[in-house]
Amino acid sequence: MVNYECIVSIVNHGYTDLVMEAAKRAGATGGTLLSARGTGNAEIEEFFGVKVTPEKDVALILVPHAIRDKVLAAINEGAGMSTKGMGIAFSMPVTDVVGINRPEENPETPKETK
Amino acid sequence: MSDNGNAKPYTPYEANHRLRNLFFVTTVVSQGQADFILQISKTNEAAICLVCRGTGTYLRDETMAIPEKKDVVFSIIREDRWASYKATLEERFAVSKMAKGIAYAIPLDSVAGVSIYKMLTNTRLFEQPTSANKEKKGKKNNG
Repeated sequence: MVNYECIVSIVNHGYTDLVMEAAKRAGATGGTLLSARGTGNAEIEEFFGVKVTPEKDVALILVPHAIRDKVLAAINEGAGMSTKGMGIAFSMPVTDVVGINRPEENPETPKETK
Repeated sequence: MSDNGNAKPYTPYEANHRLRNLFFVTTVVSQGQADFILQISKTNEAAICLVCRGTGTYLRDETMAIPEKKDVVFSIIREDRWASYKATLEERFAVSKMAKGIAYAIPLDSVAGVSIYKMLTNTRLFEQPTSANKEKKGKKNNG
């Protein structure tokens, strides 16, 4: 049975493509994107008396445990703090998953060939 | 004075108050289908549900590269309810391609206090009112 990990990546608004491209290069199949707001004190700027909160995007990516480090490294390289995305990424262990077509459980499923 | 006829039946403390682990469950479905997920979350005694709008990036066909709109439901479910929740979701996801989705559970390590734990685990629901309590409540309302 494959163990999965949930990778959460938080980047500046509009830079999720950097995250997903990096993750897909490292073997991830896809992810889910959410909109969010950052609350880091240093980032909240007052602009003519109006507080401007930086908009963020969150990417949730489910990957097998075996490729977790590879995907995290790829995200750090492609959308990390040194890029315009200014992203961070971390992973959480997932105990159980529903809805993913796992080839080892369903032998009739054809394996993807590249 | 004690009335033996209306005495509360003995229930071991463990039966109602056993500590159970909690799961932080993320369910991703197509847009518009969050209501069903909320319904089954409620059936499985999820204390909190949060629905967000999201975008899926998995493209089945690269030529039709239109990202799908998704509903993302975050909920907190007791460990013993996960199996039932999972079974319902498996049935639902098998209905059609449109009904497909994914869900995964992340175990929680700690919560901020006993009252929060009780709220998250829906502990109050276990304490069923006895017939004696019901009668007392009825008298209070009438009187």
